[in-house]
Amino acid sequence: MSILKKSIIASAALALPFAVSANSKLEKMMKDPSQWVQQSGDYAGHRYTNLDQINKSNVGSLKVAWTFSTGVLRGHEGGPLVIGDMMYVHTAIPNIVYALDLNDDQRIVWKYNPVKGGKFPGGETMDRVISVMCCDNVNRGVNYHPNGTIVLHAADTSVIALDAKTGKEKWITTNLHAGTGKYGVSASTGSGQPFIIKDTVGVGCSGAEFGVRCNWTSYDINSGKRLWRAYSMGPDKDMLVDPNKTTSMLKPIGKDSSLKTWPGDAWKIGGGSIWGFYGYDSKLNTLYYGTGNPSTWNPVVRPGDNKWSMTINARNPDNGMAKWLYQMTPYDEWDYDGVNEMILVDMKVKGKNRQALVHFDRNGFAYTMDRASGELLVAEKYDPAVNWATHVDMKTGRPQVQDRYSTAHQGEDVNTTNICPAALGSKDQQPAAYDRLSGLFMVPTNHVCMDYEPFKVDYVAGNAYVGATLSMYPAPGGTHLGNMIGWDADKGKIVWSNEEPFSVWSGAMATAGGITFYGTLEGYAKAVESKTGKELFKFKTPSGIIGNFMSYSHKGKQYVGILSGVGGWAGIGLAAGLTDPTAGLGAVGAYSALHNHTALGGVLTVFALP
Amino acid sequence: MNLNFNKYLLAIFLTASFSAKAIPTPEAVEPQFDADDNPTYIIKYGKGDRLKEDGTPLNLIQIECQGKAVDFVTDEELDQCRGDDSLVEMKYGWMDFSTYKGWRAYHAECHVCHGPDAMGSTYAPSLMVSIQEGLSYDDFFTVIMNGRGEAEGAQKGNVMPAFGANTNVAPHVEDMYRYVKARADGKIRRGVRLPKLPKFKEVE
Repeated sequence: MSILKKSIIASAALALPFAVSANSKLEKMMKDPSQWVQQSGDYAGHRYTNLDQINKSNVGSLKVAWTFSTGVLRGHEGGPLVIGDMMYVHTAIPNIVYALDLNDDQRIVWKYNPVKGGKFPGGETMDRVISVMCCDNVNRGVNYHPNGTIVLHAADTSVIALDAKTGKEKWITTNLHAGTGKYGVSASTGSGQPFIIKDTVGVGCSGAEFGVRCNWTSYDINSGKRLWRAYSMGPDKDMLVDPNKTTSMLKPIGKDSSLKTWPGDAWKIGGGSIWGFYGYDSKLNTLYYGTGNPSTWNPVVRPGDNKWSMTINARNPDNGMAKWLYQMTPYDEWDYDGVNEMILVDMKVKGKNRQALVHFDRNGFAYTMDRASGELLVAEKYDPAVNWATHVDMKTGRPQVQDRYSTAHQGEDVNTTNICPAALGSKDQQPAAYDRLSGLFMVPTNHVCMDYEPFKVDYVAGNAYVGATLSMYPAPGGTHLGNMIGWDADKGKIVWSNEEPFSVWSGAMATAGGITFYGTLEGYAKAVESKTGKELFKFKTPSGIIGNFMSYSHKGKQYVGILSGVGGWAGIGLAAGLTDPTAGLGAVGAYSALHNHTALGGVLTVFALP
Repeated sequence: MNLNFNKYLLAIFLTASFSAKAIPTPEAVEPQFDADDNPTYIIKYGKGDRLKEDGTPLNLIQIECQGKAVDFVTDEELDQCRGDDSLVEMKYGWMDFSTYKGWRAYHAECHVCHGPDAMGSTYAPSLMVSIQEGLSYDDFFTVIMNGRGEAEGAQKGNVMPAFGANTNVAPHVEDMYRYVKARADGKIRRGVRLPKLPKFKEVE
C-alpha cells in the first residue's frame, strides 16, 4: 500500500466520531500552546511551542519576569508544567512538588514532600536512597493526567498520584526496591518521568550501575493497580515479546532472543535501565523508549550481545507487547546507554514520506527509523569526533566497532585510550527539540573523550557494580566540551554547530518565533536563531542549567521557564573541569573548572518581554 | 625546552638495561607505609620512550616543576621554573602497584560522587583537598567504612554511604588512600596515567 493511501485511511479514521478519551483530552491540551502539559510538551517529544510573541527580532530584549527558589540543592533536571493557571515545579531529592498560582503572584497553593520522618513512601530512608543514586539526586519531572492528577516518580521508585488541585495523595505504589538488595531488583531508583498514556501511567527504572534488571511498568491511573511489566532482558515472557511477531531489523526476533546473548544467568543483574524521555504515537498506539547499559561496565564478564540492553523499544501500551526492537550498541563496552529521548516526526527521508522516529544516542550516532515498522533509515555520527565505530552497517544495523577502541578486545586491566565519545555520550539525557519551521533538530551535545579500563568486580547486592575506571578529557583538537548543533535527520548532517565551553546538559526548546532556547552548565539561558544557530540572547541564571526549557502564556503574554540547579552526571564529571591548567606548556585551558563559574541551588527563572 | 632529568633518574627502577627501544622490567615493591604506619605511595619519574609490547610508545608525559606535577604549582613557581630551566618534561613515571590499585578502585567506586582525579563534584568534596587540609588516614578509613550522615556533620541531603560491607571497596581503602595522598601531595598529575610496577607477591 502506498504511503499516500495509508495516510488517507488514517485521516478517514480520524474523522470518525469517537468517544472523548483521556488520551484525546490530553492531546488536545498539548495542542494548546498556552499550557505545557507534559515534560516534553507533547507526545512526539518535539519540545516546540507555537507561541511566537517572543521571536528572533525581539528576544534580545527578554527580561526576567519572576524567579522561584525550590529550596533544594543538587541537580535539577526536567522542567515545570503549566495546567490552566497553575504551575507545577518539582525538585531533586526529596522530590518536593510545588503548585504555584499564576493568577496570584505565584503563591504556593500546595507543597508536597514524599519524604516523611526521613523516609520515602516505600520505607527506605532518604539517606539510603541517596546512596544508591548513581549520579546525583536528579528527578526528570512530574506529569499530568486530565482526571486532575499530577504524577510523581520519586527516587525510591514510588509512583505517587496527587490531586492537582489540593496536592493530596490519591494513591501511592512503590514500583521496585530501592534498598532491599534482593537479587535482580536491588538498588533500583527512580529518576525518569512518569509517562501518561490513556488511563495509565508508566515508569522505567534507574540503577544499571547497581546490578538491577530494569523494566517498564504500567499502572492504572485511577487505582494505582499494576497492569503490566516488561523487563529489558530475560525470558520472553518477562520481556513481553512474541518470538514470531516482535521484529528487529524487520525480522522476527525468534525464541529466547535475550537469554541466548548472556552468559549463564548474568541477565538477572543485566541492567538495561530506562530513565530518559519517551514518545507515544496515538495513531499507531505505540510507546517508544530506550534501554540503558548492560551491567557491569566490564564487558569481559558478559560476552554476547546482551539483548535487549541499549535498545529502542516500540510497544503496545495496552498490554506491553513489543512490536519492534532495535539494539543500537550490541555488547556495550563503553556505557553508551540507549535511553535518550524518542522524537516522532512525519518527514521526508531519502525522498519518501515517513513516519519517522529520530533518536540521538549516547553512542554518538543519530538514528532515523520508520517508527511503524522499525526499519533503520539513517544512522550517522552527530559529532565528528566519534571514533569507537566507523559506521553502522545498514543491512545488519550493527555498528562496526574499531578494535583499538574496543575495551573488550583490549581486555581486562588494559587501559583503552582516546575513545570518543566518553561514557556520558555525545549526548546524555538532555533532550533535543524539533524545529517545525526549519525541519531541523536542535541538539545539545557533549564533546568529550575518554580512557576506559575494565576490571573484575564482585556483585554485592545493593551496592555499586561498575567494574571499570575512566578518565575523560575534551575531544582532540579543542578545549571545549560541548556543542549546540542544528541537525538534518534526513541527510544525517550537522547544519550548524556552536561551541560551548562545557557539555550542553539542558533540554532545548524550539519556538514558532524562529528561535531555540538552551541552557549551559555555567548557568546561561541562551536563545539562538533556529535556522543558523546565531546567538540572540543570553542571561546568567543563579546556577548551572541541566533542566529543560518550556513555554506558556498567561493573560495573553508569553513566558519561557527554565530550572537551574547544577549537578547530575555533568556536575560530577565537570565540577573540577577536565583539562589540566598546563599554562606553562602553551595549552590554554581557558575554562577549566565548572566550580569556578557556578554553585548549587534549585531556582526557576521565568522570562518575558518587558 | 632544556630538560633536566638528572635528579630524577632512579637507579632502583631504571637499570642499565634501559634503552629507547627496550621495555624496562622494573621490580615489584611491597605496599608502603610511612613512619607513622599510615599507608603511602611510591611515585617515581623517569625518561625515555617506554614502548608497549607492540612497539608503540606509551606516550605518557609528566611535567614537573619544583618536584611537583605542573598543575599543582602556582603561576609564580611556574615562571621561576621556566626561568631557571627546571621545568621538566618526563616521558613516563611509575607508581607502585598498590597505589595503582587505589587509583583504579577510586575511579570505579568514589568517582561517581567525588569526581574524577579526586577533584570533587558539585556536591561531594574533593578528597585531594580534604587530605591537604589534614584528613588523617584513620578518619579516611572510618568515614568509608561507616559512612557519614547529618549526625556527623554532613549537609542535609549529602550523605556518604557506608562501604564497610562492600567487597569492592573495603579491602582497598589503604590503596585508595595511597592514591589520593599522592594526588594531594602533587605527585600524580590529573588525567595522565602512570604505568604501574608489577604486582608485589608475598613470599610464602
